[in-house]
Amino acid sequence: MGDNLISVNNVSVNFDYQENFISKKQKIHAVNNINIKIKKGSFFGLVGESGSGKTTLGRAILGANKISSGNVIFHDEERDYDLTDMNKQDLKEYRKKAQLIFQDPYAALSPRMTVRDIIAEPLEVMKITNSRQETDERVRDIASKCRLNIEHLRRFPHAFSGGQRQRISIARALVSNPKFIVADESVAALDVSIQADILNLLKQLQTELNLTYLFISHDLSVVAHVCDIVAVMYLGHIVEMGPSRELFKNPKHSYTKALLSSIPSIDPEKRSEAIELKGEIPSALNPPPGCVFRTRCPNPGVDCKGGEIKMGLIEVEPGHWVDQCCAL
Amino acid sequence: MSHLLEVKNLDVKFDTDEGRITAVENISLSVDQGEVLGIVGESGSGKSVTAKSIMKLNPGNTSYNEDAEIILDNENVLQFTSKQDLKKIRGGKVSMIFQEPMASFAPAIKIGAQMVEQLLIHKNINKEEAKSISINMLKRVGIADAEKRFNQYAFELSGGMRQRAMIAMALSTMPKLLLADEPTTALDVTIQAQVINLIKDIIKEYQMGVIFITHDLGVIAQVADHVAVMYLGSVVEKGPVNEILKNPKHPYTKGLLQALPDINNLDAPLSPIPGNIPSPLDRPTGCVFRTRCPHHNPEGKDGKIEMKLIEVEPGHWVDQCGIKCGQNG
Repeated sequence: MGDNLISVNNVSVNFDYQENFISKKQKIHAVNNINIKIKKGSFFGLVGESGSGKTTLGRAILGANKISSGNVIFHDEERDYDLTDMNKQDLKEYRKKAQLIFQDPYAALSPRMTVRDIIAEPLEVMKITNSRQETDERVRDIASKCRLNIEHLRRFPHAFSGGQRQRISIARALVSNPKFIVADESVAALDVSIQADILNLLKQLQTELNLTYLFISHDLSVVAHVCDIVAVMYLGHIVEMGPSRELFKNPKHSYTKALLSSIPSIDPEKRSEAIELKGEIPSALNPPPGCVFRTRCPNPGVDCKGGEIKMGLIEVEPGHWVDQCCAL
Repeated sequence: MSHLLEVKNLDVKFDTDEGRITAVENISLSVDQGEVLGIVGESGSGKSVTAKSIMKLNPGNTSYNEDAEIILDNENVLQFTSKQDLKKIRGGKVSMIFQEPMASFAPAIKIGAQMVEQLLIHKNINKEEAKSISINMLKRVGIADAEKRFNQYAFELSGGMRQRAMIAMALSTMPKLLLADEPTTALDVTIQAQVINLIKDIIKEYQMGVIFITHDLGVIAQVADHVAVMYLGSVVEKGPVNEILKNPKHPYTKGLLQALPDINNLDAPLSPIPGNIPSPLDRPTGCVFRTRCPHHNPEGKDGKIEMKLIEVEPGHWVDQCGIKCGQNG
């Protein structure tokens, strides 16, 4: 497979749902038939509104959610791991290599552990290091890479600001020397001035440690700035995917266009150019048949309005994929 | 013409176990009818505390300075002490929309009942009239099936709809001043665009004054007429929105703008403001921004320059230390 690190092949994730114990069991189609390849050393962005399935997909790739159909392959140097067919030993190995950074640095860190213990915990749990001395060395090493003050390692998280806490979470995720990182809304809870700092840190660590990121965010301007490749999700489907510059300059899908126009412009003279989408994202319990976006689409064609066009990506430019309903 | 709201020299201090914290220092602001004043700043800059002072909603350990005035409709809110007077402002003349609509509705009371309750307190009407006003208001903010929603609980609505219901509730008493504290922060961009347009329409329709608090400069550019930039409890720059965003003078305002990822200019590097916002317990003397200022001038660095806003262009006020630093870079 050469230069890919992760291949996601036809992955769907369904959850069972029962409103109360006498009602019928239903299925929530959280993620539907997703195909993505994440190249080694890339910064892969996943955008979409809440409820679009970005987090579920990210967790599925980490093996934290059960995959209902399809498979995820992690291409390591010596061997390939198939996530849907893994024994406990493999899963343990995989956990060292794929890690998650959470959204809220206030909730992600235990208030009763010192920063040193928080960062060292993965090493101890995964039995990566053999002695306390070795653990301390690795903790200090990664902490300084994440620009944390080594002298602060004995403090508790409450003494730190949001940005510093996020650096602690990053250090914790990176201490086991992973190759693949899922960053789930990792800058959403931070102030703009600190957000820029964390984004720069993630970029810098990527080159320093040869990392590959799956960066999940709802903020398009952040994604446009840091990601090489972006996939736009809506109601469990990828509706458009491509190199980020191409995608943001030349969006093809009506949903991507609407999302881009909804970003409030910093220029007060450019007010209300937003293509306003009516209504809200439909429930994943009974998604509309055919194109999932057609219920909110500002300019639906005759065919797709009736739901006759199936979901499926076609390549309109090299590497730029658009759902066929809008591409046609 | 006198302003709808005028805040003069307001200090807000909290007494805590660790000492007296200055949350807001020497703030002066004004809002006219039909005007939107945006307040921007990072967390901890005192935006919400300022807004809450207008309704005297700050907790019991709060103290205000003696010479401060918050004049709303020719009355000094800070001198209100009786419950009767406070009721007049809280929900009557002034309404507030919060960031997290789930937390601001009582979870076990139907939305309709909550809307009717506040109308009965503030207006001299009966239940039936209150119900019809509430349902009309829900329709006005674009909630389909308003009669059905009226009898539902907050958890049964989606995030965007909850925020609309919150706006309907805040507006149904026809307040003169609306305080919107990060009303769109918890929403998705497409829903945010809907809510911003709704708020703008409503301001035009009802001619109320609005204080719009947010940390998002993009949202400010879309809704506000005037902007005040706050840092650590002080206003460092204020003026018309166009002037502030296109011609910022204070290094903090400039820093905020540079830290913002701009989708139209992907080649621009993201430059964070160095350092962290200091704890309000050790608020720097002199210029509050000097500990993080990238272009500090020598006197400003030592804290020898006092905070004072100076008018650099008509209506555009900048802190005097910031003017000097702004010229340096």
